[in-house]
Amino acid sequence: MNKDITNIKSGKEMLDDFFNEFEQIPKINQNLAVVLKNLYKDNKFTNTNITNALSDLRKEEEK
Amino acid sequence: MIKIKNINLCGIRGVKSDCSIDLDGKSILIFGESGTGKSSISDVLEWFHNDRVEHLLDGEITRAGMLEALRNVSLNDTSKSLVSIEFSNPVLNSEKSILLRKDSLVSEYSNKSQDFITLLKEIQKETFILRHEDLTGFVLSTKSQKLDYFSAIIGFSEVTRIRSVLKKAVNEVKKTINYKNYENLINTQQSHLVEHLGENIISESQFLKSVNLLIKPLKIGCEVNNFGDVDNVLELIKTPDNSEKIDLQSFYIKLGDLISDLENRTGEIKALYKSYHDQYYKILSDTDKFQKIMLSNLLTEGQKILQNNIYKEEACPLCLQPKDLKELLNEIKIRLEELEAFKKEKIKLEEAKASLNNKYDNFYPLLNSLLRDPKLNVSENKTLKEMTQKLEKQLSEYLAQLKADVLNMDEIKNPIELDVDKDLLNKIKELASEKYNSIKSSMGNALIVENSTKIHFSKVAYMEILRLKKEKEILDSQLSSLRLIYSEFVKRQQDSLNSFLDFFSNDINSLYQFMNPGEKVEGIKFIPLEKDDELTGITLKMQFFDNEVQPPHKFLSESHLNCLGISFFLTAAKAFNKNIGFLILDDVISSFDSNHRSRFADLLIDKFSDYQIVLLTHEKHWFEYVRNAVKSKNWIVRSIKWNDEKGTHLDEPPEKSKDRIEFKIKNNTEDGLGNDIRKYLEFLLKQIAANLKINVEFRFNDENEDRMAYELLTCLISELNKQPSDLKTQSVIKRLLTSLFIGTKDSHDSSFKPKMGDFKAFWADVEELENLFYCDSCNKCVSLKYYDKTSKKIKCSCQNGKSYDWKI
Repeated sequence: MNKDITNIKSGKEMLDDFFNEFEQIPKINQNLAVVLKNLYKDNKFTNTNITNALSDLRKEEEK
Repeated sequence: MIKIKNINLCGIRGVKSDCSIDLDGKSILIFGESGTGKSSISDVLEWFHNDRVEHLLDGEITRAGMLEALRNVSLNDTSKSLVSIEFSNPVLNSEKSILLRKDSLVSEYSNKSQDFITLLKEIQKETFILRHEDLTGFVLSTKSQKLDYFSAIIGFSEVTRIRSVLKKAVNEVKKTINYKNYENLINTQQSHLVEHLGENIISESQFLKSVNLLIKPLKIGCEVNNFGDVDNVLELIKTPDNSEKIDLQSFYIKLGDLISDLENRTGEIKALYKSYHDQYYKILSDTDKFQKIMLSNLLTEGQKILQNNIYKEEACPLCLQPKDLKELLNEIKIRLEELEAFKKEKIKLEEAKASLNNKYDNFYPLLNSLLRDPKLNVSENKTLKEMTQKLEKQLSEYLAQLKADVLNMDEIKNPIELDVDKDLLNKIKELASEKYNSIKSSMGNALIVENSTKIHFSKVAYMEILRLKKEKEILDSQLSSLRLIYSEFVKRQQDSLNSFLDFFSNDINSLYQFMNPGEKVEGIKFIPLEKDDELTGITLKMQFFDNEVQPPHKFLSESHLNCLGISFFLTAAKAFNKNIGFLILDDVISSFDSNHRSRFADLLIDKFSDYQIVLLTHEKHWFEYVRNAVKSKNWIVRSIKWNDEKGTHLDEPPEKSKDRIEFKIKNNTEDGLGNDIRKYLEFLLKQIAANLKINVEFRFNDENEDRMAYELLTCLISELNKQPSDLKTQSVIKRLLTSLFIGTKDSHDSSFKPKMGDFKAFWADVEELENLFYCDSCNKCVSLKYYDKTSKKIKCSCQNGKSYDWKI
């Protein structure tokens, strides 16, 4: 066996890693990243919640 | 890893009375002719772990039918039907019985502990049993079934959901930008700047410079350097009488701007309504199907209830008809998948509706607000108001169609019946402009009035441009960030899946190559498939005579496909079983050619020595091959037999039959005693013949084992007669030729019925023979292996026990 199965990530591990690291993607809006990260952490990562959160964020940034 | 220590079956499948298999964690090779019931073992192990036996559940057999099939057919109502299993992890130890309650069969575990239930649930996710009929199940499954299989293993369904949510978020923001129509809105404001300042304004300094040009002729002794200064100047030059007029002018400008915006939007409104209309009638033409969508909530709830084991009766929770719950769960899954396709069409309709609604959100609230404005409700604006109301009515007709319920079969208007009258738009715009100009004229030609009006409206327009640009900039930033996030997410998902599939492919490849060395099939690889930016399936490719080909069943023989199936099963078990350390392989080599059979045995012994293998076969030659291969590998080798009395049972090892013979003699039990003694004698004679290399007539392997006591005894006597030892003078050897008659008669129908005294005499002779050749100290038979060349004697292993003169 040439590769250890323990190196293979499960779906949950992949998601956790992604949402812990995606803020480091160059040129992304950090406020938006925080909003998405919190929705994922709170198990509220749905389209309705994202649409509402992005709209609130826009209003905040337009001030 | 959990291994099996002991299995005890009673009254289950082919087993009538107790059948105990002591494994103590060791692998076992079991041979059984067809029809002896060897699959009783795999069936019962599958049932114990998974609470079902896959091949006993199909359209024709319900769960109750499965229990009926598991319970031995010869049992009466009160007889026991159970399996009791001991494991290396005692948490899992339990008895599982089939009981008759209220005229129906039920099953239950004796172990009710929470730890047991939790562990049992855990191991139910693991793969440990493979039968011949399931060998190529995965290899021949569809691309989407392969994707479902892997997704379930690595929990990718949530990853797919999050990816879809992110993709929708990208599209939502993109749509918001499109619906806003920023370019037109900014152009409208630019046209006001051109009207008031005489040029397009692209920067704050340019704006301030133009305003200063308007201030200069007024000779008020100041100029503007920032927006705050503009307000101060306007305050300085304002004429109180004109405030109301400027407000009214602002109103006409807003109305005019709205109409300009609408002129740009009417084409889009019509196109969006047409999409909505077409999708609406697509669904309306087949409402029967779509009405079933309403069942999806019910089915989803039912699915949750069954998946979480909230409902345990073997019947449909709604109609209460007897039903296997796993089968029911599968049917619900299929129905939900069908409904999913209808749902997608319904979602398309909802999206078309939402698109039109979103479009309206950008102008409709402002139109209604202008209609409610008191400035429009004055007598001189009667015509303007009527025209604007007419426009609102035309626009609201589109919205009214969105309220129709397609599943209620409501009709909606054809796109050609709806329209926004372009002439009406033009008339409103012209009238608003006329009203604006009329106020402008009424304000007189004084330069101060004219320029202050120009400064006021140009500032309003410029501020609006800045607001629109900022709003768009924020949306663009969100869109760009979401695109980057989505793209990184897709990359991570692909990397993760590819890494998993590479691992899996490499392992399958190495197992397949082990069984098929030097053949032109290489590089077996699982490849993810995507369509419209969605993961749709997984396919299996390979190098076949240096060409990449797919699917495997197009190119491989049945035997090679079986190899691939076995490689897949073993890889999956090795990769994903976290608890189970045993593998049940039931007649898996039936369709293998001879090369693959031996290779497969070598594979199990070489690569899976850490696992406890339960290997069942009816292929005698392969059994012999494996039996030879597992010598000194600490495997147990047994045969399965079937008879009327016991049903399916394991052939007892001879050393155990000695205890049974003594037990029967002690308890005066004649039943089968002569036969037991005869078989023990045959076992002894085979051992003696092997150790002393007694010449017997040649027979092929499978017949060699069937030699009878008489033949072995006469060959032994013949050899002893050639030897110098006094063994040949031992009367017991010749006596056995006669007493063997007791055992032979007892095992066949005969008018002669031996008594206990006869059996005791026969057994005494067998024991005497054993004592002649076996050492009391080391329990080993005298053997040529321990031949002493000096004294020319055969000895036992301890060298101080038995010894006889012997010439080679």
